[in-house]
Amino acid sequence: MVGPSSSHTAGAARLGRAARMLHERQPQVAVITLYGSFAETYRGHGTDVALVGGLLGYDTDDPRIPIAMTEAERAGMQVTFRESAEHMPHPNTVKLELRSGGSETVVIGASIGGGNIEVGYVDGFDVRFSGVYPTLVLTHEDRTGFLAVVTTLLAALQINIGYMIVDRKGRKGEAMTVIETDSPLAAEGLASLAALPGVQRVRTVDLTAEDDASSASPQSAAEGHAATAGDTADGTGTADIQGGRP
Amino acid sequence: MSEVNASMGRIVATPTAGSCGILPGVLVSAQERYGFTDETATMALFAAGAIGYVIANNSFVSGAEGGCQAEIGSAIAMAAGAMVELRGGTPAQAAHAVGLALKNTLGLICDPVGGLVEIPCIVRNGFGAVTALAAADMALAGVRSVIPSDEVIQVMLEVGSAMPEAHRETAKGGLAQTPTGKKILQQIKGRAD
Repeated sequence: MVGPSSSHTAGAARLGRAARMLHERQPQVAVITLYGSFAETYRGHGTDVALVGGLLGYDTDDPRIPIAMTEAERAGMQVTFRESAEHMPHPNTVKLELRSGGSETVVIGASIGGGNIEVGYVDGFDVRFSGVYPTLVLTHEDRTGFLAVVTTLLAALQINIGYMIVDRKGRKGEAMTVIETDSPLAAEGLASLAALPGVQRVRTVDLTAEDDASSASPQSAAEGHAATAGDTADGTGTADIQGGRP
Repeated sequence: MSEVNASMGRIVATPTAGSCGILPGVLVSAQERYGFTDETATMALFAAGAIGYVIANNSFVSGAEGGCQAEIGSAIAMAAGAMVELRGGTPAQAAHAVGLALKNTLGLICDPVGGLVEIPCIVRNGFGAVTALAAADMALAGVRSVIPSDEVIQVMLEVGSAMPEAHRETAKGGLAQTPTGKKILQQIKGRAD
């Protein structure tokens, strides 16, 4: 990893990267709110550059983290930092509000030590996942038997589930299911999930996915995100790295 | 190590970045002194990793949660246990080294001057390496940790949880808030603006 703090730098880069994966593209605008210890020490600990590096797709050992601000500017990403005194359950908490075109993603997560993170909130839903397993984030209708259908499909694809959490906005309303699996889902599997009745959106987060590529050649780290799902909308997974759209 | 870390160079967190100097400091000096090969020293990294894993899963390793004891303390414990392993001690002796080392750092606060990872972090890495070597020597000489290491790890959790927020990596207390600490912060801010 790139220093100086595993919780404030490596964890921050992972939080930024997880948020980028949930946004499914490189954000044009990022409003970053820092809480607790993050808010007090983010400049000295490089939390700011690490978060922005993560939003650019950098992994924790990417040598470009120190120059992430310049890179973000070059990529046309507009970043604003805010400090909040609001009390959060974990001292190292950050809220990332990302916007590109008409799409908005809000992620709240915490860096829980040693570079590990916990995402606790996505787009209005309370969830909990670490990103160290291939993670499916499904937005869907709250309907009877939904989980049975999803788990049956995963079972047929020989995908083992390690952890699962469901939250909903109300009965028969919008819901989110997060599933951590032991192995990643191939594109066909993701397409089958997206085609299930009631599914509105399928996203994936996997912070370990590009580790090999990025450590062998840090320069290629930004490219890895083609693998993040949900690029089905326009079918061009790599379009996001162009950045700099007006 | 710690200077590379503070200047945003690439390091390995052991268990954290702020405490990344202790394990390599101990292992490299052990190689120089006893002539251990890289392969042998690598095996000691596994022992260190296992100890860190136990601490992280039962207590914490981040300064924001548990103060410096959680970072430097855990790193010392990992290095002490690894050193016992490296010098041919028994697993029980390694566990005693962990207990001895961790007891010595209980209560240590995280109070980084200017919110950086420099003062007192870098020096604490240096002293930490010495403590780890001493703990390993003691364990190898047959000194036992009367309070077992598992119980010491629980104490670290208890102490860290009771620690005020000002002393958990917020730079709002301790050395960070001394007259000199505040002056340094102002200088850094002046440079940034």
